[in-house]
Amino acid sequence: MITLKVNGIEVSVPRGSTILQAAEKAGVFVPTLCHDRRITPYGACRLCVVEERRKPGSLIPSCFTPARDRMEILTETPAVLEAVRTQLQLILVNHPLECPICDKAGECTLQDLVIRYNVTEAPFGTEAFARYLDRRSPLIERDMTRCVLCGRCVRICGELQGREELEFQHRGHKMVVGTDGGRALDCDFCGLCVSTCPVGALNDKLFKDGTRVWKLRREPSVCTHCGLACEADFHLEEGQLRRVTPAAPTGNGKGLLCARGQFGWRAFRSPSRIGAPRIRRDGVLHEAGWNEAIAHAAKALDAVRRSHGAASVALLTADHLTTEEAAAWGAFWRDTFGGGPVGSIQADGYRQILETLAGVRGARVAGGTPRDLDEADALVVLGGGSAELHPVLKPLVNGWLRRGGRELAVVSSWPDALTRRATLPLTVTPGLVEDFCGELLAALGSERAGAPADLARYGIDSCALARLVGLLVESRGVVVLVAPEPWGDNRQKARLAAYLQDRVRAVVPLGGQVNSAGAVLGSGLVSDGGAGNGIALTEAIEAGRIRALYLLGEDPLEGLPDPQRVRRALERLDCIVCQSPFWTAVTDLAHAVLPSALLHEKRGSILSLLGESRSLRPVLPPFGQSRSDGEILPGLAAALATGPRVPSAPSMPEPAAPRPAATPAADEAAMPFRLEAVPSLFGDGILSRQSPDLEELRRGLRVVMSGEDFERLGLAERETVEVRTPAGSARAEAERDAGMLKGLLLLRHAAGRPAGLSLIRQGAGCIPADIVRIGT
Amino acid sequence: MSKALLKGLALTLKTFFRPPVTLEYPDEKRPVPDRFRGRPALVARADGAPRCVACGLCEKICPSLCITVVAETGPEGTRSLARYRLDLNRCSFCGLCVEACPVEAIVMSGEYELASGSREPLVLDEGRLLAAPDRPGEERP
Ligand code: SF4
Ligand code: SF4
Ligand code: SF4
Ligand code: FES
Repeated sequence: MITLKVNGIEVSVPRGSTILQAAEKAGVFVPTLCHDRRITPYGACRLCVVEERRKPGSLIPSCFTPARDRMEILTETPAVLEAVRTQLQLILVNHPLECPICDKAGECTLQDLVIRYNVTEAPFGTEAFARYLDRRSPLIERDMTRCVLCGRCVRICGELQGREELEFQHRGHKMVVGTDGGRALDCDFCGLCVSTCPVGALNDKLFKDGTRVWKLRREPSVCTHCGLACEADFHLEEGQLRRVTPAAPTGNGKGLLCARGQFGWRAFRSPSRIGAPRIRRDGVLHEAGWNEAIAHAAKALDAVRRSHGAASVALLTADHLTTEEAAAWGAFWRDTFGGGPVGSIQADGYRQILETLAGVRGARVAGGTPRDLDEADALVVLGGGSAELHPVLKPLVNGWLRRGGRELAVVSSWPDALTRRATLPLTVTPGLVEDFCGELLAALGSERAGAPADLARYGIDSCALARLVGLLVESRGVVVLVAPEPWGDNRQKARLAAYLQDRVRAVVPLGGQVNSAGAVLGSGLVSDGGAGNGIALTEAIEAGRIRALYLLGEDPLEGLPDPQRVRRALERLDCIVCQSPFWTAVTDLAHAVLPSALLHEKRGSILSLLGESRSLRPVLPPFGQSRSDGEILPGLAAALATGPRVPSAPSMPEPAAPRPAATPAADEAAMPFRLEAVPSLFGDGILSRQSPDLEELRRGLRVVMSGEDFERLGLAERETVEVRTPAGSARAEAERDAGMLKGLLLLRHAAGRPAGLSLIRQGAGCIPADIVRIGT
Repeated sequence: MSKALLKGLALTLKTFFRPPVTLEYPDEKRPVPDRFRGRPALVARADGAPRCVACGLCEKICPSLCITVVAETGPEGTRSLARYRLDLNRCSFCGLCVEACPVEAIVMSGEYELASGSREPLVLDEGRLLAAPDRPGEERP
């Protein structure tokens, strides 16, 4: 620690802190324009100048100058004020004065500073000048005439998001921030550049021209698109949501959001929201009152209970309940109703891994916290797609890597975002990640030195493997992230994670929905019998062991491979109750539809994947007649409280090991590619799928292949091709990716699309495939 | 008493031959002074559209909260006016909106005949606000 004085106020800061940090700690205002605490200082604007008492006249940029012990800093001397004022006047030479039509007005750093320093004249004149204006890109508008070249967007995109989509171009007066070749943005659309731009040069198109910032009320809330539950600020105008921004990066807050968090909010009021309860009468869904609908649902469930036992009713949850609601539902399901298997489709992999961890520990799982992640010496990621499942992991990990000397090992069968940043990438043959994890467990468990038996099969070199084993054996500073495969099997990964959890600093399962962690750890709405595992569910229905489904926001029809088989199975059911905020494919088969509220419309707490507990209060008004899941329960519980408890609980069998699909050999031989379904950056969950803006970014079903394959097939950019697998065929947009292995195809955005889901099979990590050009 | 009566009659007689100071009000109107604050009016551009850029500053400054500005993305892709509403029932004719406007799109017109049998006609939209009688000496583009 060093001690210095800022304007006479004494502060102690850790050695290495900047003068600006010391001033902040002392509560002294220092003007800044190019500074953002999320990224490294840069020194572009020179507004943060201060003076040292013992060296009058020499101006020090405080944002990147380290503080020294016993410094005496002055921030308001005439020389400093004069410099700041002149600097602002110089910036204004090239800045249009169009505050009246600029959406930044009211929260613009430049505007605020010009007012604060009372800059009323333009002694250097103002130049009429224009730079490009890009309105083609989705969601983000770039009006470069307003840019002050602070470089914040360039740095945040490169340093944190790791995209390097924006860069400085040209020199001198012509300098501008742009994309290569001046094309439209084609990036992660994390919106971090928009959130950091101090002026109105980068704009959120969803917010543009809609209102003015001073009309907004800022409500702290969280993003509910994935299990990280990032903190977000909701900006409301008279109860209407206008935009979502990352929470200010103060204290522990990381100030990060991804595309779903920043741009996915129109899902909350999508046309697919259900406004009123409905019941099926004579084969048609009719609107009904709440009491009637609950009575109808209860009656149907009771009928199933009487004829087949309550255990033949399965509960599927999308984990969008608060922890309190999940606890109440768990208790109702187990104790009052005595219902059958509980599971989830979207969070199945996560629950599988977490429950294995919890099962082994027998008590609370000590998952990783943001601090563990921050202080780890090495990260080991088991499984691909971690940063696609939880996009904010990418800036988190990039920020963590920036500090140097750290090891990021990623075991994946495809080049996902983290593999590209990995210091130790282990690219496993497609489809074999599960087996590899099993082998790794065997190797670690027996402390058998050396490599798994048949290395060549996995396609990784022994050197890299030795380093991975070394990491896992030696170091306690290792944090292990486990990313499940969307429709694959995850039991080996779960076992490996359970083995590692006492040996490394922390094990964090990924892939959870917003409150999966809370539902499993906090309230015991635990899966049992693997009902969420699609094959087990479908087979149980086909075998007549499951006669009814209670869906808490979940949809097997939109979320499981082989939709035709799933539909046939669902049509056999005696009763489906949909308690969901959104109208999805399965709602059309429902016997009763109970509109439930979104998390933003209710009060309660949730637990993020990283163990952060967040309390929510309603920030959005209730939609239509929808009620929170907690409010729906008492009526239903009362209606079902009395009834026969048929003890014949036909327990679910362990899900059979996914059978290697029986496919005609000839079929496979003719298929030169291996296709793997991977998670989408823009969200595969039901909530994310309701957003028209994320849907625009997804651009439908996409198939990604290596540049070599792309050229060999003679495809054009964005050409629509036909993808064939033994399971089915579908049209998808072809895309090339230089980082891809030859012969591998990645299928993006399959969730929610019957065409995409019909290409894949449950439990198979990858599947043979072929690409056919349309019209040949 | 008769003296007072005569005095009064004398005044009447004297005034009888002077030109009148009153006006036949509804038929004749007195020109308003330059700084008169009649009902606020929007200024039109040459093409007849309001000059207003929908920045919302008048709405922000109005102490009586009688202005509502709704913006939209205009044909040029920039902010432009979708709806402008001014509730004369609440307006205090202070003229702060005129001072706040960065593009001189709103003025205090000379119109003062605002009596109405109900409240609704006093809630003015942009069409009604654009149509204001010109004031002498003022040129509207
Ligand atoms: S949205 Fe994110 S990835 Fe795209 S340019 Fe901005 S910072 Fe970079
Ligand atoms: S666009 Fe904004 S953040 Fe980027 S350099 Fe210009 S002013 Fe800075
Ligand atoms: S990482 Fe997850 S919680 Fe965070 S902003 Fe993205 S979708 Fe939302
Ligand atoms: S904030 Fe220090 S130079 Fe810009």
